[in-house]
Amino acid sequence: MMMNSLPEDLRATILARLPLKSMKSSKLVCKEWKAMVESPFLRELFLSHHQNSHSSWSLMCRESGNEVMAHYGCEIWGLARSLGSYTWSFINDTFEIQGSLRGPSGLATRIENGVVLGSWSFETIHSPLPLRRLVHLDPVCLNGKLYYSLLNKDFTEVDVVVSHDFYAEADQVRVLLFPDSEIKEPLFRRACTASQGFVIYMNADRNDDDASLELHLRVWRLKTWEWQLLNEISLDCTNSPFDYFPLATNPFDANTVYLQSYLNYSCLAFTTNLHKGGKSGLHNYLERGSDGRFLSFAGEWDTRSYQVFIVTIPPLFSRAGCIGSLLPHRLDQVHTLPSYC
Amino acid sequence: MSKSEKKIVLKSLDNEAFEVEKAVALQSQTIWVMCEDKCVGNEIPLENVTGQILAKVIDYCKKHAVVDGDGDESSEELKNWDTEFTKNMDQSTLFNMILAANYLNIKSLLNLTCQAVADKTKTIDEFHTFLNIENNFTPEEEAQICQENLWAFDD
Repeated sequence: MMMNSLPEDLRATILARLPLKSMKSSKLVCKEWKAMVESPFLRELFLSHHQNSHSSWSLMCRESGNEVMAHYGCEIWGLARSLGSYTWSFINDTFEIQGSLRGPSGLATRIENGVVLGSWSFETIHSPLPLRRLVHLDPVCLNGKLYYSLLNKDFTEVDVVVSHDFYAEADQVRVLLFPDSEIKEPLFRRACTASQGFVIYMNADRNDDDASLELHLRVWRLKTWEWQLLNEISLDCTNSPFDYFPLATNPFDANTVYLQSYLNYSCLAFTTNLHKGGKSGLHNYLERGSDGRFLSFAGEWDTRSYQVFIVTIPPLFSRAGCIGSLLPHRLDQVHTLPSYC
Repeated sequence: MSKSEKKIVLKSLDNEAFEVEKAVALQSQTIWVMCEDKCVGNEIPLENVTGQILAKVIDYCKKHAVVDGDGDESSEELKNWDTEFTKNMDQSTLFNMILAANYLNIKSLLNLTCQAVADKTKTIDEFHTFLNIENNFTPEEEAQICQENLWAFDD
């Protein structure tokens, strides 16, 4: 009995159960298999089969790429070791960093004809408003643009996001208010990130007044220069000794939010899924599953440094709108998923 | 309902007859539809499944029918039973089980057997030997695929 004598839909059913890495390498089996691996049918099958799983991720310090704050691996999505080394070798290989960095700077990348382009740039940004930089929010990179979160310099505490397109001829700068800029109380914990091709903004505040301690978390995305509220949930923190700060969203799923929490001056990471009416699932401190999933922590993390970003394995065949956090050699022959348009 | 109506006879391709509880057989959507339509008597001919394979399918259905019925066994135990069930099946048996599960429309068995094949196949060599597939790429084509999919081949 030969595998190829099975009907095609059954062969695809088997193929969709392979870990991503085996599936990709199975292109080498024969021509018929290669065609099947690259088909939209198999993509849908794989995604639906693993819809309760999510891609591997690492939280990393910008300053030293090898230092991983937390690392979530899953054999299905193919991440045997931490992403730090991968990412840093790619950045050192591809970009020349000249002189010392000063002022707003960041790695601006985009895809052109399937090739990742990138540049380190020093540019003076001309803004219609006087601005000062908000140190604890890092620039977000999206499709060749960097988005900086800034405070208005006249100390009226009006917060804005400034975007600059590094690939445009003109010195284009756009300034936009945050959706909560007008609100003075309470003081929000904030994070800016990118997901599914959009800039994502989150704020959180913890209500300590009543008996039930709740963390209120809100997530917006920036669409055609307007903020759209995607999610608004309350996490019950009554039984939790931790205090949570929003950190990032999954680059491929704005409903998966990573929170950090300080405990004994070290940092823990939690994942909250906002699907299904805000029901949240937090990662256990250490997690080992029979299906090859694991979560590990680098332990001590210098909390004085706020510069953390998330690196994620892209889901199968997805187009990376959020190229800043992706590894280029995983972007082979990507196709756009309809939901990401 | 008389006792005889609770039983059903499944007849394999090679004319082997298996008398089973109706509740066991009805895990197959195909058989369920046949019974529902009353287009068959108490004996159901299954023209695509051999006696050797049908015996195994019935083993599986018996195990799962009992568990669904009284819930005595934990899902953990059932999972272990499933693992043992497919562990020593050779390649040809597994493929025939997949075909049978597909034809009889038993979703959980189809999942189990497809996953078993996937678990036994991780490397290219395993694909070629276990799945009995011939490589029809030229060395140049092979090199190009490797180049395009670098990450899948590194560690």
